Amino acid sequence: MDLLLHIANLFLLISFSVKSMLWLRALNILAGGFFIAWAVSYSPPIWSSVAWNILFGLVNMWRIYVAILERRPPRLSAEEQRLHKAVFSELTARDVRSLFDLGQWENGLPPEMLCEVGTISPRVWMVADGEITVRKADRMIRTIKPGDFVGEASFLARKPLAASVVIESPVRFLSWSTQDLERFMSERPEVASGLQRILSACLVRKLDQVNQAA
Amino acid sequence: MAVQSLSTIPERFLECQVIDSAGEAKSIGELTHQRTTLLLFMRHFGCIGCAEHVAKLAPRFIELDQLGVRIVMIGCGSPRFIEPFIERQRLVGEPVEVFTDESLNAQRQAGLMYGRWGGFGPRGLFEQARAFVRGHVPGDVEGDAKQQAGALLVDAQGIVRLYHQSRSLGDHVDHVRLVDAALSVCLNANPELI
Repeated sequence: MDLLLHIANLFLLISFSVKSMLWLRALNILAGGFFIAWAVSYSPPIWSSVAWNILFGLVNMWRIYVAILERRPPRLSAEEQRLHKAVFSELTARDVRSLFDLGQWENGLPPEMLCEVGTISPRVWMVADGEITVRKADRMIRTIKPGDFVGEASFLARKPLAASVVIESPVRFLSWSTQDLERFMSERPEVASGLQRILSACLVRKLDQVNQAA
Repeated sequence: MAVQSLSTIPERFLECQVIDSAGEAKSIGELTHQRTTLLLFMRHFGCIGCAEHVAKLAPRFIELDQLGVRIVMIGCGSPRFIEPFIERQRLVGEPVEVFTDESLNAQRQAGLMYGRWGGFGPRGLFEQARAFVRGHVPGDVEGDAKQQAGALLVDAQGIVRLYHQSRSLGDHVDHVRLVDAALSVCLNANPELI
């Protein structure tokens, strides 16, 4: 019956030499099976060894299940996939899924005032299709095109908007409440840095536009 | 007057001289003059904790540069250690300038901590091991190992927008907080951006 013990240890040895965590756990479960068979075949059976190996096996099975779930790509609609590639390429599909789930898709029809000058923006908007207009005292400052954000400056600097955000033509956009976005970024620092990079790239584009206009 | 967040950078700190690899001296005042500047103080050029810190921050240097932030690193070893440090940390071509202050005057005026405990106390030793496991390599002591690190983000008006005083070898400034402060400075300087 020592053969079972040797086979179990052999699988354990192989598991220690593999790089993949998934295979390491799978081989550990297999080794545990042989340890259990060896312990049961003993007379009298070594029940404490059986119990411990069942527990190890259950923990490994749970971790394998979670790892497989994490490997599955999240579902993204065609529109979301397009935005992932065009705007959020720095983030993984899973992170983009969580970010989109946090936001709210809307179809805006003119005329609609999204946020007035002098107020702290309650949301950050990202244009998916169409455009949003930024106006200051009846003067159009800029149009926000697909893939660009508006309200992010107010969100990042915690300051009131220097102009109004207006819908003047049909537009489809995704928006996030600034509170939700702040919580999301503080809870997930690894996503926060990617999102920060995207927002700062958008600001740099706007800054270039301002400098060119000047 | 001590350095602290949202206060003007003290005159005595502005007068401190730092030296580049060619031996040319510049004052902190010259480096921070009319431009948002990130002053990143390191423990010493061979420090494993600083190698870890640079590796974490380096992916954000271009972003900070685009936001108009001048990035200045200040060590405390001989100027001859600067070029090897730049090469070792893969900072060639990055928008970073490296200086040193062997006298530790700039570090003192910046209010940074000094002592053996930060690097060789239980927390420091644990952080050394953690940095090693993460793939960083300790070098020779190229400066004063008792000097602790820190970071200051100073805006164009000379106001300290972010101040971080490292308490130990692995206590780095959070890069998300740092970029957040830089974004905030950029937005306040450009109120037309919305």
